[in-house]
Amino acid sequence: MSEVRIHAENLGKQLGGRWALRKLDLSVRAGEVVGIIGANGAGKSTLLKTLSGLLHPDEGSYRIYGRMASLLEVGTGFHPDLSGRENAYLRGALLGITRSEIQRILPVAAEFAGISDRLDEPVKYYSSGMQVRLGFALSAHLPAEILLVDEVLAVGDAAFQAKSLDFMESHWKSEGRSILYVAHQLHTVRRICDRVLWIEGGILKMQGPADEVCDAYIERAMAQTVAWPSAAERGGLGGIRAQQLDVEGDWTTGNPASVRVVWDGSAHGTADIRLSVARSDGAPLTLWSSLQSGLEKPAEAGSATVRIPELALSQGAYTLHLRLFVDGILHDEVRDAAVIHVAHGLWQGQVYPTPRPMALQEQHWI
Amino acid sequence: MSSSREVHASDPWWKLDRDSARVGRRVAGAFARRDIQLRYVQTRLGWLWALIQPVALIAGLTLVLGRVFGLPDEGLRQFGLNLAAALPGWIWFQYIVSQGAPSLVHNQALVVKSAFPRTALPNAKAVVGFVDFAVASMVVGTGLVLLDAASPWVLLRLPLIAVFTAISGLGWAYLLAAISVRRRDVLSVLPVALQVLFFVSPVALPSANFDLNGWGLIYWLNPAVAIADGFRWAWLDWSVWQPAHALSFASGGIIFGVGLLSLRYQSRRISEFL
Repeated sequence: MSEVRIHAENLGKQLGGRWALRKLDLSVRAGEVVGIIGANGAGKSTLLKTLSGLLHPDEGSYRIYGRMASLLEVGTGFHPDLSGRENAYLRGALLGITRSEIQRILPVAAEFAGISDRLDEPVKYYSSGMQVRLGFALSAHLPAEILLVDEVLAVGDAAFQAKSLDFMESHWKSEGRSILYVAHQLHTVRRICDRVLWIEGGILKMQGPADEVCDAYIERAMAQTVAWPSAAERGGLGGIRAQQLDVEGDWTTGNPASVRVVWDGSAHGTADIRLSVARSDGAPLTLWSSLQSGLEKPAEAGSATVRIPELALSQGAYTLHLRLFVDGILHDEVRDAAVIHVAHGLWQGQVYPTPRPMALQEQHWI
Repeated sequence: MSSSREVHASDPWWKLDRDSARVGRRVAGAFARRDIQLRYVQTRLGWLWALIQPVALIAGLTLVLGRVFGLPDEGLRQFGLNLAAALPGWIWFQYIVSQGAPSLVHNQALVVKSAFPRTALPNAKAVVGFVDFAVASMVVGTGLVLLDAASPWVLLRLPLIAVFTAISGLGWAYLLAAISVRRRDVLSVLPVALQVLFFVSPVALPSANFDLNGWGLIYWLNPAVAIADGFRWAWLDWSVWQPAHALSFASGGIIFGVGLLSLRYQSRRISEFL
């Protein structure tokens, strides 16, 4: 077993009179990437803030072995009038890192952020994207054994996010760094984390291998009954509103399935009923649209049914987002209108061993 | 392993570990450096301002106030010496308080996301103010030597009073910074309070000789009295000391302790409030 980097026992923190974190035991070893998942307000950020020293625990204790860099501050704390280089020294000082150490990592970090040629310009002339990239690149290259990461990957453009994820996977792990990673996007957690803690109401609910905990987390989220928000709380113009959504069929990969949507209202024009199928973490997979498939339905109160001859979704849980358009204008929107559980089945006569929910595709190999 | 940190819920709030103290020094250094670099950016005369400001202030105040009071030449010389000796120290003191007190609120984005010792920000301001103080002191020293008024003991005495200036300024800066986390009001009152303090302290005016009761007691509780008179003692070897000065020194020292503990106490809760 490698050495322990973070060790917390019975950790608890009270915020505003209630326990934001309670009785948490945690141990992170060298080279381990540990994810933390849970709903908003579950205590994830409180845990990170406590371990980083921003909050003092009301209960229990923790030990940190090694230098710890926190990526809570990515993209903030740059001084606009100072150059990127001077800001890097400042950032280093906040973590107790000397100028000479920063000088060593700076060329690499600037290269990573794609701003090597502008390092001596004041940060106020950088675009906001450049600032975020520099912030991440600096923190990522700091000589620290432990990193606390709080959804930094939600920033920057898609290409940079992908690059950052690759970097975390390839460098941090291989260099034996320990990472405590908080994220909402379960697919990143599955990808980079060895182990996941699921926190609910400030209490550790489950911990274990990433896929196991993520699956349980999704199942739990799905099990909660889907209640639609009232019409007044929903988006769209409101000329027509969805009333009901019925999921029919056995919902097995490769088998027929159908969904019926009922709405009422008095708008004039042509309705377009759109169902977008998303993974439980919100990533959209495919779209079913009545208008695109050739059905010109008048917008007055009515119903429409989509029939899927062969369900091209692998085993797992999905959510349906429902939107009603009239002549291209959004009239109603119900996110998470329904949850569907797709059972294992054959796709085009074959078993597709996909570990995660995903869209399948008719395909011909030659 | 280069460092390790152990935190227990039961740790006393005044405890500060060695690693944090090291981080604090680095942060103060980096922030001071930043301020000094930015200080005279976008000015034409740049660093010359550090020389021009004390000279202009001392000359201006001496001439204007000297005319107001209708002083004869010899009186004007005394008045000028009195002011020149005390002014750089006073400016440094008021810089530490006026810049150090709001430093946490001004750097809020950083403070709520980074767990460095909070004293680092006021400390950085003390360093920045010291640079101006050092330049002004060299100007004053040159002037006093030319006027043949400098004390032979100045190099021994000056550091003592300078240290007290930093301590008493930082004490107030720490205390007000700690309060400002919950009550920003103190920051609005501060500029006026410092202006009033300038007039009730013996900076432009000569040392006073009040009795130790009523308003006199309040006068002697002002650390700026010890600062201003102390610099006269250091630069000019004037015999300024009275027993009541002990009170002024003690008040500076006590405020330093109270301020330091207040800020450390508040540090645990800062990211909940800011």
